[in-house]
Amino acid sequence: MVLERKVLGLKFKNPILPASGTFNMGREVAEFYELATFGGLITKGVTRAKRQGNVAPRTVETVGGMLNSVGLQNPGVDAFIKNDLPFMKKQGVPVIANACGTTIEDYVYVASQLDKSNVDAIELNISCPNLGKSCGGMSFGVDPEMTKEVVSAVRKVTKKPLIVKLTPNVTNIAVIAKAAESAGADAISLINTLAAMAVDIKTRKPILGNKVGGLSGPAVKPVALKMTWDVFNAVKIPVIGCGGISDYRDVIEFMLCGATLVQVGTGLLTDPMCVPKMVADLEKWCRENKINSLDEIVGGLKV
Amino acid sequence: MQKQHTTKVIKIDNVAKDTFVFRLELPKFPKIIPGQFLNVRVPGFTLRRPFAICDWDEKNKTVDFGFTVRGDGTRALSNAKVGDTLDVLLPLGNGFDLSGLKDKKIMLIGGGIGAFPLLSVVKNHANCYSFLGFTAKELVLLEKEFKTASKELVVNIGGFVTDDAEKAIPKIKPDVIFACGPEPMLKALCNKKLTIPVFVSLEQRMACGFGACLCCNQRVLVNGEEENLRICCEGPVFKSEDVIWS
Repeated sequence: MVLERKVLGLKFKNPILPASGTFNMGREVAEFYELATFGGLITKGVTRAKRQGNVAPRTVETVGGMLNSVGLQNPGVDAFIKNDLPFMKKQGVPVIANACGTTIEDYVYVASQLDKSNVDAIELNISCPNLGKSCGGMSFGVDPEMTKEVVSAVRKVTKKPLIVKLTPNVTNIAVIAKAAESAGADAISLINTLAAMAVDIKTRKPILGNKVGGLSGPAVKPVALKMTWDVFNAVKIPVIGCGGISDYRDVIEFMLCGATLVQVGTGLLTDPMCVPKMVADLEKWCRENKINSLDEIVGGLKV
Repeated sequence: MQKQHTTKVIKIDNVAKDTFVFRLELPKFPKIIPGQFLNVRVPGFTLRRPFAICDWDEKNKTVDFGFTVRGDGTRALSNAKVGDTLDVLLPLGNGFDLSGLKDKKIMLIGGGIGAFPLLSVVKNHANCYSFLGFTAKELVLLEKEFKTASKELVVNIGGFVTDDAEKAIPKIKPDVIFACGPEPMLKALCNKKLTIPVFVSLEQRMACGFGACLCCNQRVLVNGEEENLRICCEGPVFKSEDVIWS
């Protein structure tokens, strides 16, 4: 009970969610343990039409982290609602659908389809670095005006809780967060991956087939913590922290910096079993530190 | 089924230059299919390392896997000692389908460390004809093991083992070919347009190993449509005619 979070009109039995894109639609992790181990679930990013994603290789390990350039391979929003959402909804915890697009019309289509479904909330992905040069994904999230435009358009077609996921590839993330808030976002999640590259000196080529990708994992945690703190201090809506979380101490760090909930991404790939351990360890820490509600630590950084 | 195992290293064999076979002891033994793989966590590294399972012993609850040192992660793993514990996900992937092949002849074609997953086939099927190719003498591995378990073994050093295998087809008359090795070798095999069904085991840079991240994609024809399938789940074994090579 101590871990329970009430956010966005939803009840999460703990603050730990999977980060979109590291969890597909949940079936694979479900082979390890019950998905209700998480406080809630987040889907792979879904788009208007089915996407095949980028060419191989799509991943490479780097020091303290990894790059990926999956490129939003997904079945499309309608197939997702038909084939995957029923499975996710059966798990008994809130389901958040991650929505992505290349144009405002795409985002609006995806959001309005999701609005008609029984997903509990929508996470608008305006931060995917793997959609190429065609406008879309991250190109919305790097500009406050475009952020406002896409969030307002989506806000008009859904009454479901709307989370906006931000990219760290900006000069001032607080400005983008405020733009999303003013356009009607109910929460901010951050960070998506940092645009990055890896090079093979033998072939003198980039290692990723897409040439560039996004960096995630423990290496980005300090960046994510700082940005979580920046956004927490800039907006009034809840903040969901993400970036390199792999154990309960990371969760506490993000909560001290203002995160109400957290997302675990690369940590799940390194060790799918990290989440049950994280939940148990967090509960133990709360007990040992006489914490009755996690609200007592959210934003409690002493500065 | 439990997929995550805390295992103990009980034997390490240096089978060729920079190439090792580790024997792990598992607390609980899962059902394994030849050609499946495991994903080992190497302390200090973000991503696990996927390696072919080359043999197992259900009674003694042991699994063998082989690997060669390619980078920092495999170098670190090669420094492990007998008695160390390793966090391993297994069994992963589809493996080679041996059902319906009971009395059939299987031709195995392996290039380099591509021999590892094929050993798991030869150990579980009585009618295998093995063709292994290596680029140099010091890289030859598992020769004794293949010789003992195969009807016939051909080892090619420095040449094209796929050509040796093709020449032997009229005499052996295999019912199916299983192959694993470097992409150019597998491509060359597929380009021979053999009339016998060929199944290839592929590899790709991988993250989770259990299907969640969609990083290890392979372009494959599914009902005539091109799809990106996951090497870790729908693979690593694919029907050669379905594979769209890069």
